[in-house]
Amino acid sequence: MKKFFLFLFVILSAVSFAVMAQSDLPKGIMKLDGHEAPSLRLKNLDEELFDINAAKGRWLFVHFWAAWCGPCRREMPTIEKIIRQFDPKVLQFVLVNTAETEETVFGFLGGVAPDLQTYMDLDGLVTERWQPRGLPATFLVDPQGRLRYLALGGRDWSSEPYLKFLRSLK
Amino acid sequence: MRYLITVICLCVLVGVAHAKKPKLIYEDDEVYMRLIMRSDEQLSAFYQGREFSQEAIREILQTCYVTPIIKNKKFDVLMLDLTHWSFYVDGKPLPRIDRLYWATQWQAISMKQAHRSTFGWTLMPEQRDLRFDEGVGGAVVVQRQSKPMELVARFVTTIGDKKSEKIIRFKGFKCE
Repeated sequence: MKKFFLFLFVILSAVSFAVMAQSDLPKGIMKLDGHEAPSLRLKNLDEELFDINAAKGRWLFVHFWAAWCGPCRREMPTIEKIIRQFDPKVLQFVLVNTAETEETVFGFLGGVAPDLQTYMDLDGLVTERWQPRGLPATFLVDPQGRLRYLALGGRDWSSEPYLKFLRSLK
Repeated sequence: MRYLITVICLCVLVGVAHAKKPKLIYEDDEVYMRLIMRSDEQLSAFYQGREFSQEAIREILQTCYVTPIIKNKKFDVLMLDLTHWSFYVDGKPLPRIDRLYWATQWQAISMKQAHRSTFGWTLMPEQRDLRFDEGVGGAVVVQRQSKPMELVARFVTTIGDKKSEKIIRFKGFKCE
């Protein structure tokens, strides 16, 4: 009987921990089922290549954006604000512009977040493969290359709940 | 005195113009929904700014853009499915122009892939399981016409295991 109650206690603790972990997520962060991230192999404005297959072993903050989207304009400076607080070997920021020209992106980032670099999805097909729920959208990919979280829409990433959440990714 | 009369007349005219515009906002404790009607000038400016060809812009301006913005304020899931939305003019159904139509148009004018992608992102998703506090916006396109329209937007809502339907209606809005 004692063993049964101990077993029940362990099960209930595990369940409540799982529920707490889910509800601890900051507003607008959605847990994903952990399926493998689609391929992502793009160059930035300096012609440097990023290949997701070569980036395993660290968390990735994969952020899709476009200059025409209003929330992207508000969100981008908050990403710029926090990016240096993270060791890229632990959490790497990968910004992906969706289907715009280098001139548009250069002009936009120069005015909004000049320290940020972005990879260029020139024809928009990589973004379509990732199927974000609109722009902006941020996926958090775990060190095994699996999609773990999706941030819906834009937010202030430099605010405490989001910083705390990003710091918890180990 | 003449100046004062002119100012008063202008104020009355502006007031009348505003009074004629229907209120295109629905809000209760469950859902926020707003319709924005884009003018030809606004649409042209947006797509010109994205370097769309004049041919493409002409295609777009032949249609009527209704841009809903929706936010789920209460439900676990507010299911958006555009096949459950109906537009009417004079009580008769007005067909919605879907993504397949655009794909055919863009193919015909050989629009470049980047512009097809950008255009796609400006449209309302065909389906979306809007989570609590999640919002969505985008263009729903119908045939251009001059008469006032009606929209009946049906959503399936979920709280826990309980499913129900929510219907939101807008009447009297026009293509600008």
